[in-house]
Amino acid sequence: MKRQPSHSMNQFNKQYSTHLKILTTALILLTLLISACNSENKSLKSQSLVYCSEGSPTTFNPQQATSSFTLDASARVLYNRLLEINPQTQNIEPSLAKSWEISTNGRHYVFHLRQDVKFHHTDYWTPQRNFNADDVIFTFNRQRLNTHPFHYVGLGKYPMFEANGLKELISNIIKIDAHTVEFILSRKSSKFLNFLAMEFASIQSAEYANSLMDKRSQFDHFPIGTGPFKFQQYVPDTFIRYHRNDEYFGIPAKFKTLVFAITANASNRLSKLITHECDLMSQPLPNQLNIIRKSKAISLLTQTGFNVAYWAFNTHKKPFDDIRVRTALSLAISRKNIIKIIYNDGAHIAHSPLPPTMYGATIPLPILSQNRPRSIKLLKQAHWDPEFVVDIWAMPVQRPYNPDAKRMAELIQDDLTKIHVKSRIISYEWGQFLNRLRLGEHQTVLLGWSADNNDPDDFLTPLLSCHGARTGTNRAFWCDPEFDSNLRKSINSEGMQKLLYLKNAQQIFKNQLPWLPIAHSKQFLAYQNNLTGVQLTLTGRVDLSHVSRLNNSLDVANTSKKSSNTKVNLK
Amino acid sequence: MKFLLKKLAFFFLLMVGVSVTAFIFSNYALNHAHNTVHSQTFWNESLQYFRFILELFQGHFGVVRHDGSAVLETFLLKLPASLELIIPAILLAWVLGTFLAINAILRPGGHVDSMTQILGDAMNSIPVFWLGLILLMIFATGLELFPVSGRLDYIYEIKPVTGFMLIDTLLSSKSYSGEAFFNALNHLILPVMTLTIIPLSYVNLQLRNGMKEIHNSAYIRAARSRGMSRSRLIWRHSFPNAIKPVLDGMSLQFSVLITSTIIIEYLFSWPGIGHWFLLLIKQQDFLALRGVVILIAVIILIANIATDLLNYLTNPKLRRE
Repeated sequence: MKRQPSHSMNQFNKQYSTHLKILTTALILLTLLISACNSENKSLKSQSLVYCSEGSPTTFNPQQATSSFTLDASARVLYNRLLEINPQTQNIEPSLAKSWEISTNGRHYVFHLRQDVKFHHTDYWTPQRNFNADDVIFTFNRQRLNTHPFHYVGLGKYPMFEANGLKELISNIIKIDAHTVEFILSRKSSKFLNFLAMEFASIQSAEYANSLMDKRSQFDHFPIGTGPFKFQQYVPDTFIRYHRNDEYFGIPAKFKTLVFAITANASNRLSKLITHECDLMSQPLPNQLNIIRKSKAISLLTQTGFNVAYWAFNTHKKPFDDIRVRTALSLAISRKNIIKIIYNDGAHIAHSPLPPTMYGATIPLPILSQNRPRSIKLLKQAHWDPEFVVDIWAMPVQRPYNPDAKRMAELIQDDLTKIHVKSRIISYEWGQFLNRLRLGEHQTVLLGWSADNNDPDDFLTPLLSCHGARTGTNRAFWCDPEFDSNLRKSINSEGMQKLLYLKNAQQIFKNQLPWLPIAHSKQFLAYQNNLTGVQLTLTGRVDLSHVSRLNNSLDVANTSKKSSNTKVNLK
Repeated sequence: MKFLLKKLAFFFLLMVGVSVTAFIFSNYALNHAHNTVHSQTFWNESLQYFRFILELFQGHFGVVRHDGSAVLETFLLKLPASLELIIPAILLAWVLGTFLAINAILRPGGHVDSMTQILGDAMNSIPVFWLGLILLMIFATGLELFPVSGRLDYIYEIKPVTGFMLIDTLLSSKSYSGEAFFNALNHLILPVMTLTIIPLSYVNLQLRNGMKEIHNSAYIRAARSRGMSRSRLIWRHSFPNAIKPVLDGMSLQFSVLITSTIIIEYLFSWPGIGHWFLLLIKQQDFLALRGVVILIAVIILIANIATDLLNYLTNPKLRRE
């Protein structure tokens, strides 16, 4: 009796263990099979370009955008402007406007438009006519006039158009004929042509807008432009897909498909770049730069951005109204150390509020380097109270100009301890932080600024003028009449004269030190070595319209040589 | 019927609790973020709450601040992606867990059994995100066998029909639809593998203990002595009896599974509910979060009720009560 069950048990045992073995083997084989079946489709791959970007766009209308990834996903991919700035020469070049004339009083600009430009032909709209003067008028009037039927469509705000004062500057736009348009300005402006090359001046289709009178909200979500790519599909937080515009008036793009793979996590972006899931990645973190530099398959494009990180002293508060105190505290800081630790050498030491690539910043200012004995001496002269605690406000968010303000504050705290100055670090939630700053509650603050064009006025007026002190963008609340008068004169002059005024203003800044300029961080873009034509604009925007892929190794060797010439300030 | 009513009442009570909590927290967070401390009266707040509940009943779960889309719409759009991870993970956990548990009965202390025991203990104590990272490092960035993230390579253009990538690739009329199917499957492997670990260690442990206990009970010994075959013993008696408490506990496991899905989706950039949830937290979109929390709670509760119902239908004892 005992034998039988044990016999059957053995049999089942055997049977079962075979089942288990089969299951395990089947699972492993299946996994391998899937992996093997997933052979890369080379022809598809060679026709698509995948860019791993860091965020989802808020709109596809660059007129209403301020964030870099929204601009990257719309302005240069989908649209063109009347004029473009050449990233190499910084000269203004024709684009949708083939030529232009300026009246002698500088208030009338006549643009002659190209006639061969077609708007995108997509699944959701087919254009009936080519680009003409109506589209130019539509584009600017939409931003300019509150009464325009499309003014309040989408986000309903035009931050860059308004911040640059174009609402007041443009007094009228007249259609002379189908391909000639005249802008009448309320006053002379040396920056007007520059404005027309900026992202917010991207030209949209008036014909498309007319067809959408009943469902206007579609206008900015299903964009129609004239650019090298046309919109195909957007899955929020996942990807945006564009197809090549085969009717593009310029040099056609080399890729049939362009994908923005939205990958918020920087480590994920780098992993995808390493495993070839992406061809390019935006915004590598400072601590990833070494991995990228060591990799033979990845190149790094570098450019000093139009930005500055600074440590501002609230000159309305004692003892920071004393120039000796400001200088002493500034002299205590080792900016070299900050650049090494916070930026991983991905930034320049700032010698001026203006970044070195900016117009007017060519004048070298003497370096304010760390000098502890002098710092202590100055504090003594200023009768520094050793019990006084300096508040260092550190912003809670990461910005291109300052990847880690809190850590930076800690380094500053260390340096201050060495000159026997007590300090503490303060931070609030970002919205609250900005509100309190505007009210001037801070003693000192670590902050920064990024500009969107090559104009020194964009830096100096909001950050250091008396007007900025009144509106709160001047975080030092510093108001120097002499500085202001030089700044005003520089805005209204040109050439050598302008440079001279800018130099004077910067000299006054240096003598007064309302803040310590810390760093101008560099912009980075990492990409596969087999790509050429990758460009960053002066303002740090990525331009993918000229990218192409080389397939044989000889070409790769050649391009890596070539691209080393275009890499600015890599080392 | 009584059972169902009881469950529905329970569902209703829990939903009231969840909605009140979500309402209070989102209000608090909103006031805190904007630094506006409204000294609102109790009545005022209650009125706001009832308005909020009324809107929920009308299907308005809020609006996403970032792009102005409706929360419910986006939630339903992203749900298939999450389910595509959760369903295979549960199925795989059950199949593997059952086989391993039976193996433990048949060959207690054997190679496979001791290994499962050690691995089971290890898996129970390993945080999911860490395991996911290690798998990524070995199989994705290291061996490059599987992709790092996403549901499908970007080169394939698949029109969403059902939202389930595996189905959509097969439905697609593109020439590469078969190729895309395998690509989608390839994308699934690592996240599903990571996600399976949690229910697997649970199913395996519970089934194993249950079956062991039943196996030593008098009626099994009696059946065995009557010469009943081993496979009949296991599939007819110990397995169905051992499965009930496991099913019961599974409803609790479901909420753990959802939490892990959130982490895994973030890790693998999987565009599902969890990934979106974390993004909303990052953007401090508390009003949208409120809607999402309630929707997630509804899903967990529905899953709970479903497992309870399954339990009820398979368990005559409960029916008689």
